[in-house]
Amino acid sequence: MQLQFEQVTHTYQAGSPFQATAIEDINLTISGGELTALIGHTGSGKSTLAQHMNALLAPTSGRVLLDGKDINQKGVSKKETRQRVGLVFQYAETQLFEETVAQDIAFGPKNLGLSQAETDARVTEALHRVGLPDEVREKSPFELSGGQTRRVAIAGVIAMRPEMLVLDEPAAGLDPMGREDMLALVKSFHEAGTTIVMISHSMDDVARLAKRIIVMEHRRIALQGTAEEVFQDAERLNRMDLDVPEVCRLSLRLREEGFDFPLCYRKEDALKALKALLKGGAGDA
Amino acid sequence: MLKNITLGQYYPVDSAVHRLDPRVKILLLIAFVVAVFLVADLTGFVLIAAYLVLAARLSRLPAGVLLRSLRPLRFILIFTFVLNLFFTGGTTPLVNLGFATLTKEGLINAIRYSMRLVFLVLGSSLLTLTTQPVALTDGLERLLSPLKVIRFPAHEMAMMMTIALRFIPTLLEEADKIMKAQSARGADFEEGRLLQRVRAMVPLLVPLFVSAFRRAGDLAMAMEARCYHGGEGRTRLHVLKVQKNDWTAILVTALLIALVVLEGAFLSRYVI
Repeated sequence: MQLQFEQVTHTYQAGSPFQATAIEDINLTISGGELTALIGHTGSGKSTLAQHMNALLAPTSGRVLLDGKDINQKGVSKKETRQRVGLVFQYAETQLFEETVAQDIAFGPKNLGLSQAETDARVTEALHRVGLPDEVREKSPFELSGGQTRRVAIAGVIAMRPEMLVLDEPAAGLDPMGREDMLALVKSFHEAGTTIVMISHSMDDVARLAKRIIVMEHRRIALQGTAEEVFQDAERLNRMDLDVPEVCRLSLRLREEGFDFPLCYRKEDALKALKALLKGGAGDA
Repeated sequence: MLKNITLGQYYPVDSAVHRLDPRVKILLLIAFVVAVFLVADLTGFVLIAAYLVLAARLSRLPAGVLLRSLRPLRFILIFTFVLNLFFTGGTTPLVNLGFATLTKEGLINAIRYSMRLVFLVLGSSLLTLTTQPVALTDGLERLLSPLKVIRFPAHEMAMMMTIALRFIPTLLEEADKIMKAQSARGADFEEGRLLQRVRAMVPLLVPLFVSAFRRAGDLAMAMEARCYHGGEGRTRLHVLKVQKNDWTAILVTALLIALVVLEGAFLSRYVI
């Protein structure tokens, strides 16, 4: 699959005194199997951009193409688009409404018109994929912990078996353990073959997961490329008041001090390089 | 999806009318309504219209924005006009349509009552368009505070209204977000028969109520943490003060009422 943005601009309440342009002239392509991170400050347009990916919002100008087809054209099924591109909102647990976890997860599959048997199978599968035990099936979502309810909400989207999953700040508001688990979960979806777009403002999270990074600033795409390419431009990221990952900062600092050190953005790489450096340094002395 | 709902009508431009004291504006609106009902004939309506045009010009609102407020009432307006046209009776026939006769009295009544409605709506819209909702409730509280003597909870009422108004945009935003989240799971809010559509609201309303209750609990706690205990002995951040502009507005309005009354008493007898 391939999702393509062509000069997409979105203005809220166009023509009124309250009009506000949220994203401007966005061009990007997301290909099947990628894990892309979308980062930027609050108000930089990340969430608006995400909502264009499954036709929840239609561009004021420009086009969004899914496998070459304009998803906002008349005659293109929105339901099908939304099945193929799943979107998990920020604090997704606030959308739960059913009496039991299983019923809530079944909401999506039922809207797709699947049979009861198929729906049940999907619920079981989704629960399993988000790492929740079978016992929670018949519980009320309000009995679960914060991290668990978020998993239920994600399961509700996963149950539709999307080819692409867009997650808006999936780890927001979780404790450090919950964060770790959530990132591991996102990674597991990716490894199972789902294309992932993850919105985040944590550089450290992004550095650990993403192969490709899109940086948004003031409604536009400011930088995009592989993690290496983007973090190379640490100075520019700093100017945007976006932190580079801690590991990255360390390696930049070492290079500044004249050490022959590679630009790392993953803990493991930095550790390896540091060990090599220390060994080399010891040999010289 | 919910972008078209405007509850607070406030139109943000800076003008003399916007800056008037909200209490004065509320009282002037009441005076204006009285004037509209005192009007007896077409000359009086011209006076009212002149006053309204003056106020609208001073408020610097685009004409379209003000006139749009008439739209929800268009059926009532047409209804009022037609009803009065045919059922007033009267003795001076104008046109005979066969099934009914239009009379001069009928036509005058039709114009009079529909004009009254138009002026009432435009006048009150002028207030809501130029005054922030919070300023309105503030003004209302001050105007009603003499009623505290008879144990009318003016402060509490105003606080409730302010909180309600404050949370309307928040809840709308929340509703919009939940609606989108459910749409992302294939929910359909726009199609289907009435019953289906009502049922489709459940996934929207349940989370919305849950969040409203949670917010209410949080807010109550936050207010208590800051020792809120009702209106007694509470001072205000924005002290309202009647200024020169307000007095000018009061004088102009008083003049309007005087003119309308005088005109009604002396002129109308001879004109119509």
